[in-house]
Amino acid sequence: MSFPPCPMQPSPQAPRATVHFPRRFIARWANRHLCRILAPSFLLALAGSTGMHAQLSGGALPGSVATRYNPPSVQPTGHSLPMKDASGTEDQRILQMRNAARQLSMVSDAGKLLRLASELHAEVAANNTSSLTPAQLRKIQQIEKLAHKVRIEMAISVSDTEGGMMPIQTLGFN
Amino acid sequence: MANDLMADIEKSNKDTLSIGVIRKADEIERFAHDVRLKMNTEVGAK
Repeated sequence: MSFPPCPMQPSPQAPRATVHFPRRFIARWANRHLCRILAPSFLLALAGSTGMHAQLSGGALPGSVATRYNPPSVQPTGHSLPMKDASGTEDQRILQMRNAARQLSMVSDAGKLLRLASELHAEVAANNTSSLTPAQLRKIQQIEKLAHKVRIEMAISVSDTEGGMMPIQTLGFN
Repeated sequence: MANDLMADIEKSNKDTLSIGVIRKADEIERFAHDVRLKMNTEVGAK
């Protein structure tokens, strides 16, 4: 194993100082062999630091001794999404509940509308005037809103087909 | 009209779409809107 000449080593052409003391000799020996001692440890330290960097960043440099960082595998916890087959009956049940709630709401709105119309009819018949009071106008506005709501609730019916919302059955024109 | 609407709604169930209900509700809505508009116009004219 041969190492390149140490740059800190004095060149052979340079004039040598006369060695008289062992301390100077030791210093020269250390100066000569220091690069050979420190260079491998420096390279090892460099490789270790790059390996650590590669491990932290998730990638490995080619030729380095670092291994790729593998995150710990995630175990299933039982909170997974339901399967399509299992959710089919659930969707159908939800749609049935929505339709039932829609029917109940529609009956309730029609009952309110009928009550308001009856009250308005009785008030107008009792007053026998051509003008309406603000309370009666508010009742007419409520009747209008309830009729609109009933119409929308009847028009929008939910089925479990792939098309989404569509009428299920038509009774025909009355 | 309101009585007819209520009767049609009671005939239907949650799985039916009654065109008669839709038509009667639409008639009531338009009628109420016209009356309200007419009354507001008369009040504004006075």
